[in-house]
Amino acid sequence: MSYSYRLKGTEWGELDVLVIDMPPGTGDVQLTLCQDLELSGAVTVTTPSKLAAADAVKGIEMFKSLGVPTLAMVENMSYFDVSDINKYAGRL
Amino acid sequence: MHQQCEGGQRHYPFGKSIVESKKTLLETDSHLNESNIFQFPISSRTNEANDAGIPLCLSRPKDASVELYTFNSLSSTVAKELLLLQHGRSSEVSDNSSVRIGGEIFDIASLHLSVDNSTNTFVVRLFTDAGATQVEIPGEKLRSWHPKLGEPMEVDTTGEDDDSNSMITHTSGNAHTSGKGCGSHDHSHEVEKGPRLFPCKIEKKGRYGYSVEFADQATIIYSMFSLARAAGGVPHK
Repeated sequence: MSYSYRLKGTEWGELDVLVIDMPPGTGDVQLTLCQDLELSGAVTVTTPSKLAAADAVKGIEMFKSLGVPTLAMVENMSYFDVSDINKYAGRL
Repeated sequence: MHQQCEGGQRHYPFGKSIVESKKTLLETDSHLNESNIFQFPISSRTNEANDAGIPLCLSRPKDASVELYTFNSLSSTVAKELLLLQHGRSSEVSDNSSVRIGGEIFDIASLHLSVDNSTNTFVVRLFTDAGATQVEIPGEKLRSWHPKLGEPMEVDTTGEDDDSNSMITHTSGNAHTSGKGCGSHDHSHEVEKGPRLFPCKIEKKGRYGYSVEFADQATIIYSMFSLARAAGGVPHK
């Protein structure tokens, strides 16, 4: 089922905010949604991988060209805090 | 082999590419600054919350203060940015977000396009807090306008390509073309006169612009900036 069909064919009720989790990349889904809906803004999610970060930058540029501002950027799996040596130390 | 690791140390098992991303983002004029970039840790608490089906923000375990603080900062920043956008910060987000017409400055996000059936012209309306303005554009003029850049295109019948083709789609079928070949290219360059340029259908395309289907079945997506320029708007920094 396409994103547009699901969005327009669902009775959402009264919403304050609708968050749409899009697939990675700058593909047809992102382009179609930006043209079908007036998105208020985007939050870009990436990982520390250089390839993922490069894709995220491309995504931000694409959204900007379509008139959708990027509000924030999130890097998942960014770091690991070792707070308990006994819990996390192990054989490598 | 065991790794020696002191408690409280921070590790970056997948690298620190966010540093390079920040640099790239600042260089590419993304208008994101460091306070809008959030780093979430690898967290067993987050994983456990996912497995339990209860989001971390709802379960709020006591030992997840870092994760919850980051979530809170992210949501506060998104809410703040949305509020700023609603109150005119869009001019900082995009370089071509406002135009000047007759001494007044208009945010092109307020642009509305319609058709005047009595005169067969396009009607562009732009709004401010104080009022609005309306400009009529003949079909021939809009057709000769670059759909993305908002600049007048020279009439070209040589068949050379340019960037405007990327924004143009042509509906196949019983289209009445101008007789100089077929395909989207000729429609983008040849400026015809007469009722064939009267638009059949106008559809808003998100925040980008409007899709205009002309009577000769050529469909062109015009950016808001291009429409504002066609209406006589001068880019305002």
